[in-house]
Amino acid sequence: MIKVADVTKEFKNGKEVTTVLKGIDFSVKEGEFVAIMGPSGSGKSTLLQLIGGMDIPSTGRIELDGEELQTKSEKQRTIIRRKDIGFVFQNYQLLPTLTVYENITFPLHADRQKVNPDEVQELLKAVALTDYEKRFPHELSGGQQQRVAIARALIHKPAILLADEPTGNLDRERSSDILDLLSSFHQERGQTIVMVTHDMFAAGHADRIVLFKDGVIETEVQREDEDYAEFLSRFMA
Amino acid sequence: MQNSFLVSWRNITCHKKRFFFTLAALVLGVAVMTSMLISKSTFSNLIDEQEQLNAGDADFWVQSNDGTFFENDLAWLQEHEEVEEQVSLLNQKGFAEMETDHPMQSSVRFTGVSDFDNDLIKLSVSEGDVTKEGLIITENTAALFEKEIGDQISFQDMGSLEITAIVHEGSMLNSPETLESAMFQDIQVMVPLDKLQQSTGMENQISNLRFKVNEDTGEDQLLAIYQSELEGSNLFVQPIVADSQQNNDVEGLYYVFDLIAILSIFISSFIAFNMINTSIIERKREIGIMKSLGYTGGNVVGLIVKEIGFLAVIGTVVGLGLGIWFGLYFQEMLVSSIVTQNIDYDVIITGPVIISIIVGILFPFLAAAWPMYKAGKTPILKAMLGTSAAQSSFNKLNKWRIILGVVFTGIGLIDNVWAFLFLFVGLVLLFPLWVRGMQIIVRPVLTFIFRFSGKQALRSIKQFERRNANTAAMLAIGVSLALFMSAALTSLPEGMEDEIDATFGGDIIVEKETPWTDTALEVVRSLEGVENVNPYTEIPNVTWHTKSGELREFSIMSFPDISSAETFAVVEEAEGNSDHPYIYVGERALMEWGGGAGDILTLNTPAGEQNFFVKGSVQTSHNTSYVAFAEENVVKNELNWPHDYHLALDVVDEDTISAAVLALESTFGLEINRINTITLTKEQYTSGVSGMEELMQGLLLLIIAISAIGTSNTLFMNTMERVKEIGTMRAIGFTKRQVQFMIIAEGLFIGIAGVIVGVLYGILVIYLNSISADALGLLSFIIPWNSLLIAIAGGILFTLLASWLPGNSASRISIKEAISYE
Repeated sequence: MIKVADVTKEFKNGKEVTTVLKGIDFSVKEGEFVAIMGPSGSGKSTLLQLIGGMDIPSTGRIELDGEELQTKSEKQRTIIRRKDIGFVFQNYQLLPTLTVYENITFPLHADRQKVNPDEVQELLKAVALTDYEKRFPHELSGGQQQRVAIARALIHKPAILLADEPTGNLDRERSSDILDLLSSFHQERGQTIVMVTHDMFAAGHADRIVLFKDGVIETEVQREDEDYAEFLSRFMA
Repeated sequence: MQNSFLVSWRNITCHKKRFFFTLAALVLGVAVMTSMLISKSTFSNLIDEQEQLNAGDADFWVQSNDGTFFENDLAWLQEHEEVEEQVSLLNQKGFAEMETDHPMQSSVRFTGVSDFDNDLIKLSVSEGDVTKEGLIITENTAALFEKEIGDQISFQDMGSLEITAIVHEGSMLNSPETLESAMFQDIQVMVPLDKLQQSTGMENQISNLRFKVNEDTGEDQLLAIYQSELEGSNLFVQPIVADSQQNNDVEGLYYVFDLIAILSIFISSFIAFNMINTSIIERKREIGIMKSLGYTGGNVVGLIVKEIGFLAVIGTVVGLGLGIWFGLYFQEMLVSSIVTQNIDYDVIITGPVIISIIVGILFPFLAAAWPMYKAGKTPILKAMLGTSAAQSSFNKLNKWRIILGVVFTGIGLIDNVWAFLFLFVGLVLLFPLWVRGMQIIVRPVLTFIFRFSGKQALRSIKQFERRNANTAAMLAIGVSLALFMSAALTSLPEGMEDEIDATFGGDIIVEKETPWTDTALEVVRSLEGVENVNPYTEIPNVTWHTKSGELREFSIMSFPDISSAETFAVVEEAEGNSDHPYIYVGERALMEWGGGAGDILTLNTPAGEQNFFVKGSVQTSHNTSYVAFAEENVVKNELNWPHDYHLALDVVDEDTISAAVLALESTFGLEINRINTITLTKEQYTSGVSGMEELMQGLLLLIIAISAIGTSNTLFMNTMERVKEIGTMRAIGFTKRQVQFMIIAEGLFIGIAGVIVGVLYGILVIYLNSISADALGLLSFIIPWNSLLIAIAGGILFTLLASWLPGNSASRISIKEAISYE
């Protein structure tokens, strides 16, 4: 589903060049829940942005269902993002002038798709915000806002859900709610999820954990792996 | 304090586009204001200067009710020691020897001058020496005859005269530019008095004598002495007055200049207000941090003062340069279209520049006063929590703003020339309501054109309702004024034509050098096409004092039956009567005097000082209502003006006018001083206005352009405050084009709202003026459809252009940076 091949990403600031990703090879299968972990500046969010088509790699390839992103125009990448990708951000990024309902249906309108109210209601129910559809973002708690963001990211039934530190601004209880919600979408609907986090508790909900350090993948571990539990407890400690 | 300079400077450099557009608006505002002030001062000075030149340094002049008199009649004046200098003048008509299609084209008006080397006649010299005895002609005459200094021009019965000086056109000498215009205007020249007296057989006769007195004795006292000397004679004395109002009705023009200057500086100051207000809202958190680190409210205000100071100083300096350049160009066009070419005048720059500097610096500070005050009062903790500007301003309608808006609108409906300024203040205050109403109307249009982007644009309009409303209000004011000006320029000539038709008094007016005799009148009656012949009297140069003590002068006209004469329309009539003879006074003269109907006005007449009961104020096409009307028996018997020099003729139809004029010219030739026709008077008025129409439309397009800069600036600010939102939209599927369309749709909304409300207010202002007593009935209720279409197209087009840059800028917002934007 997602294939990242020998990807590097450099940022230039005057004459100074910073290499954030250094030859990353990485892939995600359909229906997989992958957590990308690493310290700040390790390149994990940059990778997520490249997968989301918000930027293109300096070298290397990124494929989504066999389509190479880096050869596409910005408009083509936007359309891919609009149809195949859902985004959840650390600071929710809800549109303050839109109600919950309008925020959720925004991607459908942007793509000129018809809104099916039943589907929206179903999603609202899934994120436990049935009675909140007419509220504005500033009338909601952080956890509720993030649940709206998840509903918005899933309304157009994207193939991939990209989540960038989705629990970064939440306390443990609310984080747990959000992670359970993501897990339920993954388990019940087979939603492919790539989540960037620096929180091992959050990463523990994923099928696979990829550890980044200084722009390279340091290690990977799968839930089925024998050393998975040891890996988790080492990090938790 | 070095730090605060650094903070101010960095705030400017971090928001280059915003500051650039605000600066551009201030530059244009100051430039338009400066150019209008230069035009007004220069034009006003030009008119006063021309009157002053006409008056020279002379204090008094003596004329005769017989037209001319013998110089010896004033021998007594030589005994008056206070008389320092004097000059005798004789005005006569003649013909130049030149090849023309028609004899009228060679018609010359001579002024014979007894002494060329004096200060009593002032001419604006182009070439040669005016103190040298010879022929003095204007630049137009020199061009018409293709002559230079030293060349000779031949005149019938006078022989050839050598040109000793060529002067600029002016009120003393003014000649036609072309042979076509020479059909209706005499070529005016100055010649030695004795030469003119000999050639016309008027030895020792003069038309008037001007003299200057020393300053030891008061002028009023001397006037009384001279009047007593001349009592019982056909001569009369008057002080010489430089009263520009007699021949120039330019108050309307000054009013327009003032209006455009005020409007342009207000719009640009509003743009500055918008920018500073937004900047402060954005920096609330920063200000909170500064205050937490020890900055006082005063320090914060000082910080913003530096930013405004930078804008105001640069805006004023650049605006002044641009304004002076534009002012010079504009007033040159104005003078040549309204006055005449080849006129010499001083450009008045110092006063307008000083005013522009003061206003240009002061207004941005005044505009920023409230935001600055709010910045100084920023509560630390609340600011540091960083409440979103979008959330705090969203969906709130300030009830005080609306109440004030209604009050100002109410005041604006009062019948007063300046009341509509309140109407426009009301418009600005009530505009948030208009914005809400407009959303209902404009929603289908924006949704149809821009689809979902259009819907999002409407949300943004609501999000920044106040700012968008203020911006659209500025455009609305520009559009409504454009419409009003257009309607005025269309209806004024019509109103004026109606007034000329109603009060001209006939089809042709003929002024003769000598009084009309019964024989001459019989000759006129026998001319083909002539129906009615009505001689009337007009006493020129009757002086009086305004209520504030200024000396002024006008003419008194009289007709056999003043109540049935079609020469004026009564606007207001006093009740009751008086022992004094009565007069009707033209509205402009009455306004200048400061009195009203029912008051007593004292005039210096050919019979000396006389009191008159002002029976009413009137409108008339004669001297643009700067005139008075009295009963014929009063004028002839009590005011020492027994003769009729003027004749009003009615002809069969309009087509006969030209033929009748030619017949009069060929029959009376040299005896005729001036002929004026109703058609020519109308043409002169409408040609002056049509020249103005293009100038005014150009200026008002400039105001719409300044409003468009405001729109651009507002959209930039709306965009900057929504970087995070726009980034999010892009992240979840909005294309660049959709973002661009969203901003353009916002701009289009501002444009449409501004234009629609502007059109509605424009029509309201036209209607209010059409029923206004202050407008003197000259404005009728007409909708200028062409200008309406231009205003709509111009307003929307300018706004669309203005939206393009912010739209482009918004579409280029980096998603990555935006979603991590704090």
